[in-house]
Amino acid sequence: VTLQLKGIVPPVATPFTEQGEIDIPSLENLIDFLLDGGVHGLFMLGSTSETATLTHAKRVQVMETAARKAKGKVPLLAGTMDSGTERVIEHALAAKAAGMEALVVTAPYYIKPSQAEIIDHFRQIKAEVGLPIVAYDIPVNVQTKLTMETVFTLYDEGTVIGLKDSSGDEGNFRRLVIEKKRSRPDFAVFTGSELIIDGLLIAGASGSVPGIGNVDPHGFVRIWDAVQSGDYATAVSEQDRLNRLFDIIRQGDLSKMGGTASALGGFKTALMLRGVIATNVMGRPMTRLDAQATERIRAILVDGGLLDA
Amino acid sequence: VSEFDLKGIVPPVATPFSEGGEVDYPSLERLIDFLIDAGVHGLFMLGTTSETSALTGSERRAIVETAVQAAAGRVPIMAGTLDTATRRVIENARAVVEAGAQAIVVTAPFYMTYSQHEIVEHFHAVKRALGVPIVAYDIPGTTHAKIAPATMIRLFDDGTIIGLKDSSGEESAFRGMVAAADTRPGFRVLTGSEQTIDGSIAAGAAGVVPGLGNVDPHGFVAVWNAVQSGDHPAAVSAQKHLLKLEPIVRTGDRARMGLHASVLGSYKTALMLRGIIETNAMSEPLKRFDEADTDRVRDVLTGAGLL
Repeated sequence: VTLQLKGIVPPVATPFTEQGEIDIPSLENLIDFLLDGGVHGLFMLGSTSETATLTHAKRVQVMETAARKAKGKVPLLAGTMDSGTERVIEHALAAKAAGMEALVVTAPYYIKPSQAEIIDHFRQIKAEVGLPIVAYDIPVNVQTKLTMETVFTLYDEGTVIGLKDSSGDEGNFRRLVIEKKRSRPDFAVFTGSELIIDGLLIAGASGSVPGIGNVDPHGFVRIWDAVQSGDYATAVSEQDRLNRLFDIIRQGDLSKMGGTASALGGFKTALMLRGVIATNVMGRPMTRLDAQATERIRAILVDGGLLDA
Repeated sequence: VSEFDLKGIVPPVATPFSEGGEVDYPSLERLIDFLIDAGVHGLFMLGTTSETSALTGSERRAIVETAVQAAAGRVPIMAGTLDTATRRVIENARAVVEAGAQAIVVTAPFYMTYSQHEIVEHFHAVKRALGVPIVAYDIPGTTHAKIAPATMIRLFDDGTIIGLKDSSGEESAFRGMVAAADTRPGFRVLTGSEQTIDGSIAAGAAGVVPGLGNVDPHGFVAVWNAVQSGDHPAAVSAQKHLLKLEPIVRTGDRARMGLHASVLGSYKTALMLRGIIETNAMSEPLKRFDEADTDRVRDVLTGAGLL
């Protein structure tokens, strides 16, 4: 059976307790909140999930929680991010054992691989694990681009079923969508560019993986539904509203914290303020947003109608 | 606990693999004997040269255990903890310390984008969790995060690190750190640059961590010994000898393989040709040197008088 992936598939944030352990009840709440929002799949252990900070054992906890809450309701995808093939296979086998239905796999990182080495990496994982694989192009983090040629080599031979594109290279993304429409109708092509999904869905993208979809899943699902029904004006106005909300990623003090902590901390702080998760604690060594940043995020949420004044 | 003695030529030890892709421990033991017999002053297990980013947790632990047994106290051993963030690095560090490493080598966290403040927090947390001496490892070419000179000095001054390995290639910043060590006794500044070590050691670098030192440890020890004895012409001449080996890093076919496969593969192919390790197999997914690549390595080794 081929896994059909489409629609809004948020990369699910990973809530922590004050002590830095996985906050399982909060993660369960968040999954319920996203399902209630009407999302079409869940991507556990993406970049937004702070997966790079999670040990193998903690990743397993996250996946088991997702399987318990959502298995059979929506497709469950799991990131396997790590620096080398054997290490990714360890994560991927754990994902399979936990009941995940597809793997999301980046190029190896830390080292600089050639495209031929990247292709071998995906083939090895496919051969040893067997689950459907979505390739994950995120050069800002892994420092290597999955070229279109590489992606279609892997797709045409059956190694991957699709791509999550977080490259920010929209021209290349549009070419991938054109190729899908022309000759590869089942190629699942998802964008991580959450600020322009209205246009990308109209162009023919299979769906979106929006980090800020954690905070307002209902809004992203409204864009999806509007595009499906041909109501492009509603899709655009909903996207405009979500883009104003996106200011929550810029509230961290960048003299203290990195850009990642500010952005992901913005999502978690908004979820905390919306009552979905208990804390805005971050994976170490990321800095947690302070009280002032939290107040600024509260104001943005109130302004956006997501929180009562 | 006696102070960890970190100085001199401390090669990042390559990780040999069998044809089946398993770590080849007998070859690793031979390599360690080869390095120690050549007079190196310490071993850095699980560095970038060791293909550590491809190794699983259990392989990493077994490699350090093998090194500790093979070295049998003849030289100090430090081990890398390469990983993306604090909890993962602590987990790796516990394993290598249990396996017998006397110091750990820690990079900036990577994959995500971190501030210098977060990098400091990372080192503090690792130090609190382990207590063993820490050498900071600045390698922005692979981590894409720079450990700023001010961060290094802060971490030394507050007792978190005992020194640094500089693989940034920024030689003026490196000299600045060597100068900072003048007023900081015990601050060990090591370089990963291989072709200017005569000058770096003379300037006061505590040591060198040369990937190429796997292939010609005697050559690196010769530069070190010459500078220590004040014989600068001999040091320059020994450095010139090492320069003959430098083209080895361009012997791999870059149309097939990435940068790391070509550089690290050249070292392993040279070690295979010198009879130290069994194969030049690489960790997945790195491409292995083929016969044409191997012939080019052989030519470089012959030209340098090593074959």
